[in-house]
Amino acid sequence: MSPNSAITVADMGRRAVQSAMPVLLAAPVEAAGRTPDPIHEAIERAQDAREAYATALDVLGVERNKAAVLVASAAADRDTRAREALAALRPTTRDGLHALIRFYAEDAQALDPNSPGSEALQILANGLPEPAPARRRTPSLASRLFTIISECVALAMMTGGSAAVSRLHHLF
Amino acid sequence: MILAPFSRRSLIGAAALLGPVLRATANEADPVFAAISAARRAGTALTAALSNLDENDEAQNGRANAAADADSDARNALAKITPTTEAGFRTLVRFHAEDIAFLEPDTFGALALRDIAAALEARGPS
Repeated sequence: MSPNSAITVADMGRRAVQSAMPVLLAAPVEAAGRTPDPIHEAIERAQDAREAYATALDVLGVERNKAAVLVASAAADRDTRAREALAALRPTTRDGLHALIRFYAEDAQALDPNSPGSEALQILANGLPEPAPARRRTPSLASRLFTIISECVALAMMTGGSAAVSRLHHLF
Repeated sequence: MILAPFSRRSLIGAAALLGPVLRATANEADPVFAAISAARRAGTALTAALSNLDENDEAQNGRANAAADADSDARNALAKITPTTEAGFRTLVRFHAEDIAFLEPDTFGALALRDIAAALEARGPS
């Protein structure tokens, strides 16, 4: 095989990407200097599980059959697991802490309205600043570079390199 | 130059010394502290008025009713106040967590407040 063949060039490109991959994968976390607070995902899971459980109970109220009982039972288990997972987590950011207070206040209103605990949670939630609108995460520089390199390598493999060079030229 | 006697270093040193004083002043200015103290005092007075209460004693009943009203007023006043400092917010969370654990232990609200207070403690001092 000629050392300048398209396959060799593509192979070199692949090797370059493979050798750079650990750095590219590690970079977003290190470069950003912060990781998303896992409490947000746990809250979403608990909300989803709560809604699924409520729906299953509604169905059970209408269709009193074995299948509906099994679905409701599974939904109850999932709800319990999601709540336990949430209780085991501690928020790592202020936003996460505020989201947790709002979630518990909302939950207490549904589960145990007008109780002193529910009212106390509501007071705390009412005193919190408005939550920031959910922002779409911007891909990190490393992630964008990884996409560009991947696209270029794929193009080089398909066309022999000229289109890849042309694409890089357009990018910079 | 007027500022010449004050070197940059001495100004920075003074600012560092003033920091805790200013923070303490800001905390004292947060109205939630006074409202929490008032709610605590009213709660203690109500507990005292209710302990060994002789329901046949009109005077004791009158004092207990007055203490219950004062407790209710203090709680309502506290509910209307939003903390203006991080320290005030922490103290309010702690107050509610302790209060609900005493009033209705092991309920959903008590456990949720316990978790929130623990999360705040884990974040370290404000």
